[in-house]
Amino acid sequence: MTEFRERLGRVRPGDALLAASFGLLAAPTILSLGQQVWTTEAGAHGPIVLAVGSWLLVRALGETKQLIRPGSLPLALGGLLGSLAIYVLGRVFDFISLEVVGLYGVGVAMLYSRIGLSALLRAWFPVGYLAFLVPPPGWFMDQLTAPLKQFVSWAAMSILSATGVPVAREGVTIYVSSYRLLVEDACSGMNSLVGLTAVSLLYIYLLRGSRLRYAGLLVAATIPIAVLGNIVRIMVLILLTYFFGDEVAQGFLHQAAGLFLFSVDLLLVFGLDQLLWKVLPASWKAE
Amino acid sequence: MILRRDLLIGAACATGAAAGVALKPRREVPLLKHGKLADLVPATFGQWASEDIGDPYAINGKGTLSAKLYNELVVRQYVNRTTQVAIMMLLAYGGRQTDELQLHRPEVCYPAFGYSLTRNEPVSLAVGRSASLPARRLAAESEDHRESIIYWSRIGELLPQDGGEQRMARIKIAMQGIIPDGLLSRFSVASDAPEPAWKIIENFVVELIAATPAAGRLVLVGTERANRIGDVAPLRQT
Repeated sequence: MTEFRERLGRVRPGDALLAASFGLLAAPTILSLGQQVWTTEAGAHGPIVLAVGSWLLVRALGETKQLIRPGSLPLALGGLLGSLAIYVLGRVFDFISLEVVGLYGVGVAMLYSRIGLSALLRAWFPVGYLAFLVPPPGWFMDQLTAPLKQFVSWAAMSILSATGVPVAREGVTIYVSSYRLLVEDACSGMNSLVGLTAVSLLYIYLLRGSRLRYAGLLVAATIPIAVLGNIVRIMVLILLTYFFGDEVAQGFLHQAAGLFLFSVDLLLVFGLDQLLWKVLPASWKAE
Repeated sequence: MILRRDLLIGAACATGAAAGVALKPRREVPLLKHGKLADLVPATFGQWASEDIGDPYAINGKGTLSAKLYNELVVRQYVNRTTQVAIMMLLAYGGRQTDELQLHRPEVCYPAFGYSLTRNEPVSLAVGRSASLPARRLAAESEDHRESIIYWSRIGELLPQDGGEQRMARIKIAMQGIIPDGLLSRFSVASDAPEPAWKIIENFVVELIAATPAAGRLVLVGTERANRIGDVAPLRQT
């Protein structure tokens, strides 16, 4: 707490009031997130993003101490009221994505009021990072991942067929010798795309600092990496089914394959970062 | 020191939080009051006799997305005694429609499951003297399988025909302070030619609704349409 105080400069009773007001809005939202989004594969990164993002934000605010000036009041209030309206709409009509967008806006407006624009801009990375808490709407994720899922299952099957594994696909199922796998299960790895991006970004920030262009480049690279990793995962699942049967592939190893995939993807991102950092010209690494 | 701006912000937030609590719908109004949907929709009627398929691909297995979305899944294959035509019926009932837990529309699901849609259009089914049923018809094909589909979705008393309408329906119902239930009714025939297959399904649906007792009809098409259909006998024979 003393460290926190040291970093933030003066912590005024007004700050406690702001924190309490924000908590009033955030508590029900975090409860909803915990019950819904965070329990799914597509949103499992949420708690980590919240914890790490908040920590990075406090850290970044400490570094911007000299820049802190109160923001313009009309602007802060305008942003706050607009965001509150979105929050209430999302909450009442049960659109969790809207609700979190609104809450996020409330947080940014409060922060702006307290520390002003230049300090806020200096802390762009943690502020932007916390936006990963906004769950992408289901229809958006469906549209995004459906073609990728198609491609991934097609690629995995083509590679395996070429090596002589008796594998065939019919509609929703993949048949391998006498067993069958659901394409949906096999492809669920694509759901962790957002989580992978979030963790990759964190790694880049901690290791390389806030370099916008460089971070953008690596984030763009996480999509092909996730696709590649998922092809490997489906091949592993099919081969497990082929050699050890349904029980093994659907049990513990199914979970393990998911974790394995995520680790492999991350290692690929780390490896790519090491490579790019060596070969890219300095202009790409500008802060 | 507490600044005036902090007080203003705090007051606005408290108002927002209170509005969020006060306006949130909490009245659950399911149209399926008691009993099971499987008992309300006749397994045999007219020329049709059915066999329960249950859950052929374990799509509603423990821990799956489907199990979270739907409280009851009725999957039957109806076969016509004279023509031997087979129609697959899937009724997916969810007692509580919320953002995460809501109907998944077939025009989204079929492509996700590896089918491509060659036809995808809204259609209005004449199900009674003065009642029409806003539905959607699809033709889906994978490498070695073609299917013709007619389905409709019900959320509370509304029958949205596409994803946008489904979102609007949820907003309208939430404005009345209601948490609705939802039902997806999907009928499909394995067939290369969509038009005749749709015709068969349409006639089947008209007959099925007519043969369903009032309590079940309500769950299938909503109160208003169920009342309009009334006690009329099947209007068309297959």
